[in-house]
Amino acid sequence: MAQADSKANEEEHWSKTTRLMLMHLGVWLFFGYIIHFFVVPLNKIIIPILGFPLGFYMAAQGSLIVFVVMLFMFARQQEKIDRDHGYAEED
Amino acid sequence: MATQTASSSSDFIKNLGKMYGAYTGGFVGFIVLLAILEQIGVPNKILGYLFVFFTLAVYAVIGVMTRTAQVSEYYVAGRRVPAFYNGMATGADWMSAASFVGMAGSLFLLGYDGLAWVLGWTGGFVLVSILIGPYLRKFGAYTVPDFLSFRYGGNFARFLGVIVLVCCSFTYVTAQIYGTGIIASRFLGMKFEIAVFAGLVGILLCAMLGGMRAVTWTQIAQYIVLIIAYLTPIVILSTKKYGIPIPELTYGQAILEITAREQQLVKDGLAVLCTQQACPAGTLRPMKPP
Repeated sequence: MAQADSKANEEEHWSKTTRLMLMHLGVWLFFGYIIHFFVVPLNKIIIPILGFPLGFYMAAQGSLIVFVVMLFMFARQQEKIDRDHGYAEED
Repeated sequence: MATQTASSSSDFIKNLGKMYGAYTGGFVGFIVLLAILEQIGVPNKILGYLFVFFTLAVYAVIGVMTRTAQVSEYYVAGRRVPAFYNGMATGADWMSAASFVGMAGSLFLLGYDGLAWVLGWTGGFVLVSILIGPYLRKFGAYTVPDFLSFRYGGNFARFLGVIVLVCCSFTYVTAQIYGTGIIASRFLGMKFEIAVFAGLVGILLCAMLGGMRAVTWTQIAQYIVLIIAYLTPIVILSTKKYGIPIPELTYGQAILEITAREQQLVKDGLAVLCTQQACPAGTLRPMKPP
């Protein structure tokens, strides 16, 4: 919070931001593409109570739920990084 | 003077809940009124006109109320739309004309493959949020090309951004305008070619006076209409068929039944199953992959 314009602070902020971005991009890639490559084997699994084939479910609801949760988590985490390093906007 | 506008705008933000609550009540009341009129025997055409004029009037009122000449108000709604309301406006973008006219058809026609659109749309919000979101405001940019030009320097990055934006928004706007044309021609009984321009004039009126400010506030109004319009029929269907008023839970059941029905059709020789990418006319593309 203190030394907002020091070089070290700036670099730490950026490296944390980059790491957060890469992590979220990884999760995004997995749920956006990779899991859907395996739709046929996954469809063999039927979700118990819903009666939903898992592969279809991931495209219809599962990935979307993950995306929405990711949006909330990312906003919170980035806000925290910004706040710790003094780049947050006052509101 | 400056403090006066600031306090009146914070009053405006504070009263948002009340305003949109009243609006939702008004909308539900209007639907009930239409239902009563329909029971009395007012013809559908007049009901259609009433519906279009009511919605247009609401958007026009919002458009006029939020008209502005300030640059930051025009492009980014003054950067002070509360997150919850901004989410509603973005949600209305997600499920606008392209979705409710196009999506239902794509899913019906393509089955599982059609879900790629749903995934792309929603996953796209994640990408925007991760790669652009945190920086746009910090750079004080109004648009993504502005941000790219600040970030990478010079006009080449800006130019690339513009090209990507034009490609994306052209596809999107084509679907939107087509949807607008279909809706306007259906409700107003015009020819499609004329209805497209009627719809465009409506959009222009709403968006030109107030820019992003007007668009955001009308989108929130639209979100309320859309969410009611989406949920009411699907909740009724789900309750009637499965006795559970949460359609998300009965979705899987419906898929299984459709699949069973498809197999029955194939077994009875009423349909030819198609498993290729491009299905010839008259063949059945299964709803879900095996």
